[in-house]
Parts: sequence; structure tokens; C-alpha cells
Amino acid sequence: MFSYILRSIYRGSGNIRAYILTMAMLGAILLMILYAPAGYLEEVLEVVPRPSVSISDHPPGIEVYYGYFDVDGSELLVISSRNTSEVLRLLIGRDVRVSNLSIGCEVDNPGVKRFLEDVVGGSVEELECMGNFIDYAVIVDQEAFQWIAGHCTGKVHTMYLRGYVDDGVTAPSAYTLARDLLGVVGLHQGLLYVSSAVLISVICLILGFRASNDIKRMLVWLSEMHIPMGKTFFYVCLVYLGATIVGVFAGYGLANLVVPLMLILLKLFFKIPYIYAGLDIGTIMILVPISLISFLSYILAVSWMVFRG
Amino acid sequence: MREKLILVVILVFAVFAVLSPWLVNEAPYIGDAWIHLKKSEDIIAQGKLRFEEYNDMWPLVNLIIAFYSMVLDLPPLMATQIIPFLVSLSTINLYIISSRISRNSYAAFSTCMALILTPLYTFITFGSAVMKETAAFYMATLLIAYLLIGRPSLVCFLLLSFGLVVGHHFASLALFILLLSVLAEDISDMLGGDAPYLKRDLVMASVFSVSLFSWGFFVLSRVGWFLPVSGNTLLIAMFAWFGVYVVSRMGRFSSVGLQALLIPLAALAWRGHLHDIPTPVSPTSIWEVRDLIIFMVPALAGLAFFWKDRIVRAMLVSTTTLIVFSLISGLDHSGLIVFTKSLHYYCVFLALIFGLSWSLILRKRFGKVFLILASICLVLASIFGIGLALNGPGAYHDVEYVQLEGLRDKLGEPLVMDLKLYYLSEYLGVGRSIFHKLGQGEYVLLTRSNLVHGVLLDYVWVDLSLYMPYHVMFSCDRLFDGGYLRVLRVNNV
Repeated sequence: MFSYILRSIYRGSGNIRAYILTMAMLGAILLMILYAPAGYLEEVLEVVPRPSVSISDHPPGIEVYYGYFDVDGSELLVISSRNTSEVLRLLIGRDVRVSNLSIGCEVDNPGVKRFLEDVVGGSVEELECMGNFIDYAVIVDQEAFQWIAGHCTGKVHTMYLRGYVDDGVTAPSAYTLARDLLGVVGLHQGLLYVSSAVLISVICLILGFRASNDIKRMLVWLSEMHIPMGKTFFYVCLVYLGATIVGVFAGYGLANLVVPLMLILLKLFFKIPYIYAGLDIGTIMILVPISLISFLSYILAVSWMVFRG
Repeated sequence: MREKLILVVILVFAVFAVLSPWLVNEAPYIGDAWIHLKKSEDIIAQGKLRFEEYNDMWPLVNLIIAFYSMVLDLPPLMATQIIPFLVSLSTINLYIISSRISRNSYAAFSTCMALILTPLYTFITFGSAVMKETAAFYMATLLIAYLLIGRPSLVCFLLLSFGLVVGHHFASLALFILLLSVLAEDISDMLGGDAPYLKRDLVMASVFSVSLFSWGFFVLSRVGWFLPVSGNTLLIAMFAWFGVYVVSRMGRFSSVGLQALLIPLAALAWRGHLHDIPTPVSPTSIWEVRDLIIFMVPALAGLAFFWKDRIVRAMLVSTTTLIVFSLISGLDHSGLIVFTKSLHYYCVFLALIFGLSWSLILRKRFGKVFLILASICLVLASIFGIGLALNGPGAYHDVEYVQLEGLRDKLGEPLVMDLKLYYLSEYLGVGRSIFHKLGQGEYVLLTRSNLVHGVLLDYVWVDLSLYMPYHVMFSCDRLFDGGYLRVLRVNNV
């Protein structure tokens, strides 16, 4: 009976092939919408080096003193440590040569420079521009830091920098930025996910109404053969559940075919770099709930049409 | 009589095409030849097979060379040419496949000629090589032809399957995907109410899968993961199969559309325009485009006409999946390896649909004129490939072999060389290291192709000046210059 139902549905007007194709198309579109931006950001996470530094308020680690002090009318970030070079290497990822009194290239207040020269009794060395917070900060030795802390308004803070990721606060980096962006995209993904689920369910509902005539006719034939309707209906459900699963897989296939080929064409014609994050096994599950909802909508429509009489 | 004549013509073309590197250069093509030559000599000397490293795990090529060397009493070096000869015989398999589908001997003839003279020139550059892939190629095409037999012998199929499985992993994978595609066709037929081949195909697929996975597990237990792709990428391959199957089942238009996109992409990738590789790439000429179009149009027409044939569709799905998978698995070096291997099977399918179209085109008014034009273009298109096979970075010359053998005992220091010479040196037992940043006093071994094409590094080649800029080259001491081979000592880096 199972194979008879299978063939009848396959040959009918609301047939399995159309159902599988619809599921596949919708699944593929959904995957493309959901995964195009997320895929890029996942790739960014792969490319950007993970931070190898953490900040804590307790040892172990390199002790760093810092504070915002009011110097000649402007608030200035002052940093000090026993091992300033290592601190800078950890914070900005570069080896920077610093003297006893170094000042960032964006601190252009002449009053500040004069004040600092008075403190150390020597000249202030201006650091090259790095495009980060160091450009706005002053790096001094510990003796000078204590003098500034004693004579200027501001609070001294202490932190411990470690050359590995442990507890404490992870220093901001391109990696964390990409991860945060992924989180933002995740919110949009959720919204898209819900709206797509609703849309696909409605489409499957319509499909179910369309296919119900065939199924009704088949149920009549089978009831004439004295085969219980419940059993037949169970088989019909089974056939369409199978079709849903095949449709979902085909959807993954279409998404995996269309997206990379489009990216290759973009690379070829517009020189846009080819970055393709293929769907991994973890993302397979994303379509399953939607498919089940769609399948239930489909069966609901068929049941409604059949049992209404 | 006509059919026999056609077969003789095909065989003559195929044999001359794949044996041309040997006939012209008197040396095997592609460095893998030296590895397998060494392995075969070991088998002959020791009288036993060893399973110790990657190249031992698919012993078909080594066994064939050893077998023919012993039976025909040929030197093993000459016996290596049995592998290209077997590849030339695969055109007969393709003739059987095409004639079974089209029932037309002209179509079958065109199919074989299209394979030999494909504008993607894979037949000559791949078929001339002595390697695992080529040894398995004959078995793969034979198994495809075997699928068309109404009542195949299970014992025969089992033997053929085992032969392919111990031939090469990628060839086995290609056939496995083909069998899956055939089964998908059967299931589709079953839904339509008539599936005459389902049981037979199910048995064949089961037998082949058991052979494939048994051998695969054996290999994994010996050498570990050997594929240039990860498990996750194989999952993508499965999805790609689903996607290609859906597009190919939707209708003629979608199938032809996908191929119309893929054939130029494959040609561009083959010419080095897609992958991120350091090989210098020359721009594609208008003539190459013309040849490709002349090849594509009948091929797409053939696909449209024979789209409903289950074997054509199964081959379409399986070979297209391989090509798509190779492209989506990454446009990097490992992607290039998968692409190169996939293209050989894709070209078999392209040759098939190209040949099939002629059973219909020849009935048209200017069919014969178009056939002559297409034949001329195919010959012209394959010239580039012939040039690569004869003088490309992978082509050896007997002079290189003789000169390096003569140098072997005179060398006290290891030589720096590219992969092409590395294989030969490994065979001859010459001290060697692969090209790296050169140091003072190092000895460099160069061959003529290094100066013309560049330095061969795995699947890519780079300009020699990358390792030896002109000032380094000119300041070197020339210790040996034999026309082909040169030994230089680096003085100024």
C-alpha cells in the first residue's frame, strides 16, 4: 500500500516532486539570507588573530599604573610600568621604543609638554602615530608617575596584563569586534528566521490545500478497497515527512551550489575576494524546526480538506 | 567492418596522443612516474607488496608495471608506458557507452575524438602520465560501460570494483558518486511506477560501497587521513550533490543553464584564472574562446537532446558534483588539487554529450560542414595541451635521466632543485632538497623547463627569478652544463 500511495501522490497534480522542489527552493533562499552575512563574519573570526592578552585587577601579570589626570586644563591618560615596552607590545601588538617620558602624537597641547618637561627635567619624546589610544596618552617612568599622581587631580588605577587569555577582562581587539558584530547579526538572523518560518508555513499550507484533492481521491479509492482511512493517512504523512527531509537536504544543496558560484563570479568580474564559509554540520539543524513547522502546516491543510468532508 | 575501422582510427589517435611524450622525449611524463617505477622495481626484486606509505596504498599502478615488465620481459622504465596505453583503451569503453546511448556509430566516434582532442586538453596531459589516477581511469570507464549491461556478472563487477578501489581513491569516489546518482534515478523511476534497474543497481552500489569502505578503512588505519579535504568539506560535497541533482532534475533548461555556466568556469580555472596560485597566467586568447564555444554549443545541444537518458543524467550529476565541489571547497592550493582530478572525469562527460549531439546535428543541412569545422577547431585547441605534455614543466626528456645518472657519482653535496627533478633524483638516489631561499655555497640543479616555464612546486609552478634573481644567477659558478641540465654553485645571494 505504501508504494501505491507513493506513486499516486507522485503522479498527482499536487505531487511530491513539486513539494520537494518548493521545500528545497525555500530552504535554499532562507539559508542564503541567513548565512550570507554570518558566513562572512565567521570567516573574519578565522582570519583575525585571537587576543593573547587579558587584563585583571590582581596578579599574576605585569603591573601597570594608569590614570586620567588634569594637566594644564586638559584630561590626560598617563600610563606607567616597570616594563613599559612589554606593556605596549601586549596592548598594541607592536614593539615600540619608549623613553622615560613619551607622548602620543595626538597630544598637541604645548602646555602639557612644558609641564611634563618640568617634571622629568628633560625633553619629551613624541611617539610615532599608531592609530590607537597610545596616540592620546603619555607614558612615563614610575618616579614621574608618582610625582604626577601627587600633584595633579586624578585617580590612580592598577591593572595586571597577562600574555595569555585567562580570567579577567579580555582586551578589545578586532576579534572581539567581529564577535560582537556576529552577535548583532544573530539578532537579525533571529528576526529573519521567524519571518521566514511564517512565510514558508503559509506556502506549505497553500501547497497542502492544493494537494488535498489528490489525497482525497486516493482515500476514496483505498476506502473502496476496505483499507482503513487512518492507516492510509498515516502513510500519506510518512511520505510527505520523507519528502520534507529530502527537500531540506536539497535546499542545503542549492544553497551550497548557488552561493559559492555567485561568489566566484563576483571575484571573476568585480575582483571581490572569494570568502565562502560553507555550512558546517552544526548549522544543519537550523532548518529542521522550520521544516517541521512547514510540514505540520502542510498536513494541517490536508487534514482540514480531507476531514471536512 | 565500418565499426572496426572506426575503432582502429580511434585507437591510433588515442595511442599516439597519450604515448607522444614517450615517443618524442623517450621518458615518462609527470614526476609520479619515477615513484611508481621505483615501487615496481621493488616489487619485482622482492617479490612482495608492501603497505608502508601513501603511494603503496593504491598498488594497482605498481602492480601493472611490474606485471607487464615481467611478462613481456621489458625494462621497467619502458613498461611504465602500459599505463598511458591502458588510458588509450578507455576510449573503447567510451565508444561502447556512447554507442549504447545514441545507437549511432558517428556519435560514438565523435565522443572518443572529443575526449582525445578536448579543448581542456585533459586527455593528453592526464592520460600520458604514469600515476595512480591514470591507472584507475581505464577501470573507471570500464565500470561505467559495465553499468549499461542488462545482466552484468556479479563476480566480474566485484573484481572490477576491487580493481578500481585499489587503483585510486578519487577514481573510486567518482564512481561512488555516479552509482549514487544512478540509484537516485532508479528511485525517481520507482516513484513513476517503473524501476527495472533498481534491484541491479542497488546490488552494484552495495558491492562497490563495501569494497570502497573496506579498503578506505584499511588505508586510514595505515596512513591516517590522506585526502586534501576535511570531513566537513565532504559534508559540503554531499549537499553539493543534492543541489546539482535538484537543478539537473528540474528540467532541460536548468541543466543546460548550469553547464553553460560551469564549462567556462572550469576552463578559466584550468587556465589558472580562478585559483589563488603563484603560477604566472597568460591572458585567455580570443582563439581559445572560439574553440571553447565551438565545443560547448554541440555539447549543450547533446545534453538537451539526451537529458532524459538515465546514464547521461547520472553522469551529469556525478561529474558536475565533482567540479562544483572542487570549486566550492576553496580556490586555494588544495582546491586546485581536487579540481584537477575532478576535471578529468568532467571531460569524459563533456565528450559524451558533445559526441551524442552529432547523431542529431549530422541529420541537419549543414551538419557535415559544422562537423569538419568543429574537428579543425578541436585539433587546434588541443595543440596547447600537446605542447605542455611534450615540453611543459612536467615533461621529462631522456637526456635529463642520462645526464643526472652520469652526475650521480660525481656529486658530494645535495642539490637544490624543483619538484620535477626531485622525483627523478629520488629515483636515482641523488642528494636533494626542494627549492628554498638560497644560501651562499649551495648547489642548484636546473633543467631547461625551469628556464622556460619556471620552478615546479607541487601543482603550481613559479618563475625561477623568485628563487634566483638575475644577479644571483649571473654570479653563479657553472659546474656542469649539459644542454638540458645545469649544476650551479651560488656565490652571491
